[in-house]
Amino acid sequence: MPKKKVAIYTATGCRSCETSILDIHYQVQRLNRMVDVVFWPYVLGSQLDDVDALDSIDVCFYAGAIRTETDRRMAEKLRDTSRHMVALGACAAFGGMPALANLSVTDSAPQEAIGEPTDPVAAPTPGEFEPHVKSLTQVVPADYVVPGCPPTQPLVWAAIQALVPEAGSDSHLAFAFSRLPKLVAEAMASGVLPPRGTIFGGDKAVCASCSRVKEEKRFKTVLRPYQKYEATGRCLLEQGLVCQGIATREGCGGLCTAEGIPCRGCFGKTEAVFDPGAKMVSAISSTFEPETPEEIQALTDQFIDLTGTFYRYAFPTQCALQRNRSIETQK
Amino acid sequence: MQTITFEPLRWQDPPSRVTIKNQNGHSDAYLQVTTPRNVRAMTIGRPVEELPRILAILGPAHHLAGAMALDSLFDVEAPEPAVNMRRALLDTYVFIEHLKKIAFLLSSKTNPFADLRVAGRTDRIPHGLLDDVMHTIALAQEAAKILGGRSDHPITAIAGGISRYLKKEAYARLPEIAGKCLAAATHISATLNEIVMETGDALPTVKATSITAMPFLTMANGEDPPNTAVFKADTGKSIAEFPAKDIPANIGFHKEFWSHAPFAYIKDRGWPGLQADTTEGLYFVGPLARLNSRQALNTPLAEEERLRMVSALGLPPHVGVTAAYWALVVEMLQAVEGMSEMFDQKKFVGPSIRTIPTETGTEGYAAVEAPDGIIFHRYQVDPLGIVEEVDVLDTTKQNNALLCLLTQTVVATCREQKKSWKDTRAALELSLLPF
Repeated sequence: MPKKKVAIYTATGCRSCETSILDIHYQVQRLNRMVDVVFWPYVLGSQLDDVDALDSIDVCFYAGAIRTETDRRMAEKLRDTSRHMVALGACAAFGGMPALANLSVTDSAPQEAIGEPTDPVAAPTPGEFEPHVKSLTQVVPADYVVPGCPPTQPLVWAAIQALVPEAGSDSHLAFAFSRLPKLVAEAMASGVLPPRGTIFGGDKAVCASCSRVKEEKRFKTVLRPYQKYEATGRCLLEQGLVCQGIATREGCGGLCTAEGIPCRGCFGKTEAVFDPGAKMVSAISSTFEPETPEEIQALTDQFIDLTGTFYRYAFPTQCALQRNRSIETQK
Repeated sequence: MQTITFEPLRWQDPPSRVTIKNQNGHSDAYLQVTTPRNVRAMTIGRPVEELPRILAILGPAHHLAGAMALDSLFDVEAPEPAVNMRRALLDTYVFIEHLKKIAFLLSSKTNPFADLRVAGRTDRIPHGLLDDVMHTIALAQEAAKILGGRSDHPITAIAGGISRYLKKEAYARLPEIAGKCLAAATHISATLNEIVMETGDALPTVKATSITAMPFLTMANGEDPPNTAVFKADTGKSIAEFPAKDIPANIGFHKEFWSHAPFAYIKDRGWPGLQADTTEGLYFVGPLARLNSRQALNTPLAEEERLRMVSALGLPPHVGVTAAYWALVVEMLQAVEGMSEMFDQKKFVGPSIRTIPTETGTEGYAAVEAPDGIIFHRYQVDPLGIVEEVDVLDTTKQNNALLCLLTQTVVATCREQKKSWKDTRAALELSLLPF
């Protein structure tokens, strides 16, 4: 049976998602038996034009957001050539942190791009920018999503196992059944592809797998993370720290909250949530009981940069107002 | 005019391409960063305490620089266990990053992902060496995860310290990891010495390649914590020494129409242009700069390796690409020796792990010797701690001139030697990798 052809590409972002694939470490040999990596610029030195020479790609892992004209062109080319397109990481899936630049009034494109031509005839052009940073999923349809910033190694491995069918090991199946949606786990067990649109994360919110102790959902004040330290293992939200675990898809196992760091939503919203920012405002405000307008004003004054916080990783795709404005091809 | 484009270049972060304009036997080569990260637009308007986490996308060392800049902004001192944990984390990242480049070097003629077991068949590289390298990286990443919460985008460094103590089992696991990494690093460096460094046999493509001699910028030698930056001339003579907070005042940025990334230069000397014969105003950073700057190292294995390098290549400063690779090996050993020293329960326990700030300043800064070279963060905030202005000096801007000149040199040499475009690209990628 021929090996599956896999492509890996990163647009605008960092190298962490690619590193997550390299980080499957001890599984590398097994991966070698399952796939031929036919296109991977960062590690293999594949050139962008090499895609033109490929008849087909079975699975393409596309990481990074769409910021440049090249990012878009490669997304379209790889989509055309690939049977299955996987949005790898928060940038490809939701826009990620590069999309925070969309919040900037003055900086739609990097300032470094301006300058005087020294020899405009001879010198090449630096490349064009898109007007706004977008996710891969806003430019071409993605069949699967592996969320996270970066995706955790077990999830990357689970996605590879699920998409390049091979009966998984007991430990990976155990992971799949404990963390992934039932449909994905069953697909992995039986060696068939998970349904199109599958997100390799949990169904519930991060709170479901967070190790912190929840006592009562009431808190009296909102604190900034640097203002508070309680080594009790108590729920961060209940300590007064804005933690987005209640609106965020689980799958990470409460990685950040276990370290005493509030969740910022890199797995995107859960299925049950329409807009993570609205969910957070609703959830937090319901835990206060202010009685006067002054008390309400004093409380609201404590919340700062709601957009940059609640849509840290998903501003273009999961902020309802923004989403309606910018969806292009998701049909 | 013939135009040749190599896009992207293998192993480069951020993604880059080289465009060569070929006319009448003369080639002009341009190195271009293709996907710049718009740090300013991402960070202005954010609560300042979020910056260590946001800027971690530039590299793990930026997370640490962000936390240290917050210490400065809030005027707090991190307790000793937190300082030690940050230092241990930095050593771990230096080890990982250098080892990753060594893995790329060793697999440069092969597909490392598919051919991990058979790479030795086509080179003099021993069977299994790449396996050892990859597994050692995996071990070090486990340590990074223990210390930083996540292995790639760490999260635990915060204003005033570290977010939490380590779990009990980590105290036993960390020394175990350090021991294994030390043994592996010793073996890897010995093998590299035999097959790569001293003979240069495994590096024929870049053996004769040198960077253009130019000044370099490092933190002062031996200062702990390092708080003074030093410009040294290409001869090794000190040009200027100043407090780290004055780094922005000493560096200018030049913009070229064809490049998204600006070119950092020594402000006092002015922008000299991108010409190999007038480089007094340019500078570079990184492992080779650090090695050129230092007299002796304070860890035995690294110092032994440095002396071996001096014995083979002569006294520093060095300009050869081989020396740049050797600097990675020396620093890899130094980092793993640092890990061995720091991964000790006694270093990480104490009455406090973080200092809670009581007031917000208006400006905070920090400089860190990151794996790829010195980096600098400065934040200016309003009374609510919202970021109003941000300066992030990364190694991409600082080494832009060096890498552009090196690109021109390599392309010119390859044209003279009538190498194919494919071989020219391979020579370029291998030459740029250690910087």
